[in-house]
Amino acid sequence: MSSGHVRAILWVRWRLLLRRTLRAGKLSNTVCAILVVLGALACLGSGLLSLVLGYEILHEGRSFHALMVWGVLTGLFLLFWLLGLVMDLQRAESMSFRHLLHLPVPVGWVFVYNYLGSLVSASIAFFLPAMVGLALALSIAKGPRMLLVFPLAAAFLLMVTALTHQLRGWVARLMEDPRRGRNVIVLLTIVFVLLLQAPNLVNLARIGSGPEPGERVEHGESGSAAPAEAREVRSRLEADGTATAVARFVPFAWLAYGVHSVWERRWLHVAGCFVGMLTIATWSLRRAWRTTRAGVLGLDGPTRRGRGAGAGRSQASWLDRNLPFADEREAAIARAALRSLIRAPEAKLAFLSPLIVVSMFGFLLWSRPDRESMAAFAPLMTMGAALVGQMGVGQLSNNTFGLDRDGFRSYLLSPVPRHRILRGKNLALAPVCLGIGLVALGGLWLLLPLGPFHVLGACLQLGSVYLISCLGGNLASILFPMRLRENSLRAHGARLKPILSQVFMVLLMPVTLVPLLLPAGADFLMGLRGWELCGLWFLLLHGLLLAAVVFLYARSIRRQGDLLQSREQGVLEVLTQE
Amino acid sequence: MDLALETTDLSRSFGTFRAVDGVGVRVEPGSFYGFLGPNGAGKSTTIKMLTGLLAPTSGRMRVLGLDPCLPEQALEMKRRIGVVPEDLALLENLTAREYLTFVGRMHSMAAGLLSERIDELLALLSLEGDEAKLTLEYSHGMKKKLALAAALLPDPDLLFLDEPFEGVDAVASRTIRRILTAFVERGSTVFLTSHVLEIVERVCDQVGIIVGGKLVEQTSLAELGGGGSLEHRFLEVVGSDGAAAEGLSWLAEDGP
Repeated sequence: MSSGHVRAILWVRWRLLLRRTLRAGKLSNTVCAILVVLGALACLGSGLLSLVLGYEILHEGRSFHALMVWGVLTGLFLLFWLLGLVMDLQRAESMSFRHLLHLPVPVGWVFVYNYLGSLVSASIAFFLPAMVGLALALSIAKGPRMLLVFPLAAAFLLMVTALTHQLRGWVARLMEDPRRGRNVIVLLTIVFVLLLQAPNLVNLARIGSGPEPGERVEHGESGSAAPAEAREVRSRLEADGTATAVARFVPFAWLAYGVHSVWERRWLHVAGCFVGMLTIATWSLRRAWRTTRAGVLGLDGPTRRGRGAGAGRSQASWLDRNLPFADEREAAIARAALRSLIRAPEAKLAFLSPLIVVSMFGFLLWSRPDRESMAAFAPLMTMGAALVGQMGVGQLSNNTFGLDRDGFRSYLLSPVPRHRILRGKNLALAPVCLGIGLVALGGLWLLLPLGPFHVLGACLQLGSVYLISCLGGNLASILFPMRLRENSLRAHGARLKPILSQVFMVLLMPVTLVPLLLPAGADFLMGLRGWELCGLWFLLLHGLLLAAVVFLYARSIRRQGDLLQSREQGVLEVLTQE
Repeated sequence: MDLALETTDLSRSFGTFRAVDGVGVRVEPGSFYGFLGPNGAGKSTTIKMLTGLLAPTSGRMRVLGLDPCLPEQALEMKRRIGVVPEDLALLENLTAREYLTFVGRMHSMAAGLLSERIDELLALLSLEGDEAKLTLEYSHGMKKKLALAAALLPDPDLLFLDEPFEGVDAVASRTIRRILTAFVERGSTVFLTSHVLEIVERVCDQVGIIVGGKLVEQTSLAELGGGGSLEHRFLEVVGSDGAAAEGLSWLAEDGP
């Protein structure tokens, strides 16, 4: 690749950026500019702060402190890097091979360009100055030998970025089959979320469960402070030893261990860390290159064969069925929309995230020994269960045509009254929204002493929350539609105004749900007065509220249909804008 | 007898740009109307307005005697037309059969009839081997065929086809031509845009030519050709560029 190629690619990227910026509007650009300035200040600040704090903490500290400080820094970097990676997996390469392969540009150079492009990230922009600052602080505090931290940090960054670039290439190859690729995204994201949440869960569970009974007795009855202090020192040393041993064998901790070894003047260990990280980086880049080359030049075998006609027939028969209390066209829309949602990775992720929240919350509640004392708040917590169901579908319900993109034309060209389209779309979300709510409610029922009246009342409450959210969601979808990017719930080229309006609608939602808290409030007050039939009242009040909400929905949906009819061409324009 | 399609002074502007400027199209029922024009002439914008996908800035339209701008008439019109829009209208996460089932149910078709027609259309358009694939996995040509199948499924009175032959293989192209010819022969109407003048010449009986948003010619194909080819007349009406006809300067030099 000649310098002319590089100049041409950079020019194209610059033009694309410029065009995007010009299209984004003044407000959006101003906000972006402020964020960039703040980001730059944060990066500069991270460098200066780590220089000052690093010197303060480490100039009189032990080598173990250096291990811990670098361990925390690399841990934080990995956390943010992984988060960025999950988002990046849903994005195209910085310069797609497809745009360049037909031109006289060597594939190798495009690979290098894409790898270097992957380094331009907020995580590196923030953590690189922090690492440099900390390394400088160490060099000032402990002498020039600590300058060896710089090559160690470079090797670490090379290792992490090369490994993830390899992963990206592997995922890109998997994603050549669109259906399989979308499942890969979902799976990887869930794995990342669970991995990142695991330590948090363990910690919270430990805090929740409090000290062990035996421990309490021991501390309380020992009387003398000296043995306790000795025990503490002993356990701290044991912990130091364990941490150092673990760092020795975990490649992601080799930077921290390398710094520790430089401090201790164990040069062989330093060299081992450095060479180890470089080896992993080289191996990863080599694999990434081979995977990319194979993928780009089509060296792999044929992709999965299409399934037979029989499979297609049975899949379609699902769409053929009606739904109780729904017009056949509403049923067709509901079933088609639900099937589309279930197949879309972005929707799957949205549906799974509240389930993760429910399991985490359930785990925390289960690990609390005093959970029985929370029984008085159980009716209030049922609202949380209803909201968590809404959480999964909120983004989809507030932009109900966003995922259809060009497919919205199908609705527009159909001879179906628009309020029926809205009802069909609302029905599509019902199994997910109500299903997640019921799972959360079931969990509450198992963990807290909820009576049958309360459970039934909470089920009615689920219905009310769902219908109110549908009305709000329909309105937001008609007034502030946004085209969503493929494989992502992020808006594509949306201006700031619709985004802010959508955010406002989301914030407004809890306010519209306030009346639904009335039964829980009444239940609480009756409980304080010792009334025994408060559960029954809870159920009755929720029954009345649901009836009112159903009436409101039935009255409003036709008007919303008319509104959609009057604005449908504008909605189409937004949704089909590339 | 009502016209299948009639527009009067139909215009559409995007900002200061006038994409369609006072177009007056008249299409007889049972005719095969070819709507021709160079790139960016306003063909797709006109079809979008006629099918209710885009509101006109001014002017009047009657499609099958109905006004697409009036909400209650628009639904009735959509019940009687089939459309293959420029950018298609497929739901990408459904399979071909699912999508066709969805379209059929939106037209309240009976289950037995729907299944029968889907089988026939998929077989005819050579899509039956790929019916279980999601439409997002389809090639452009396959998507076009599927969109055409969806347009034909409810047996409409009027078909709007925006470049139906684009990206379609020769075998499918011949099948589509035959289907459309049979469709017109039994009294239905087709309004088609295409850049393939040979196909238009072979199947259409009426043509309209739009240039720079204005309808510059509207007549029967026999009259338009005037003994010569449609291409010749089209280039005459559109106004071919002299410099382009001469070719590229460096091609006149000796090759490598």
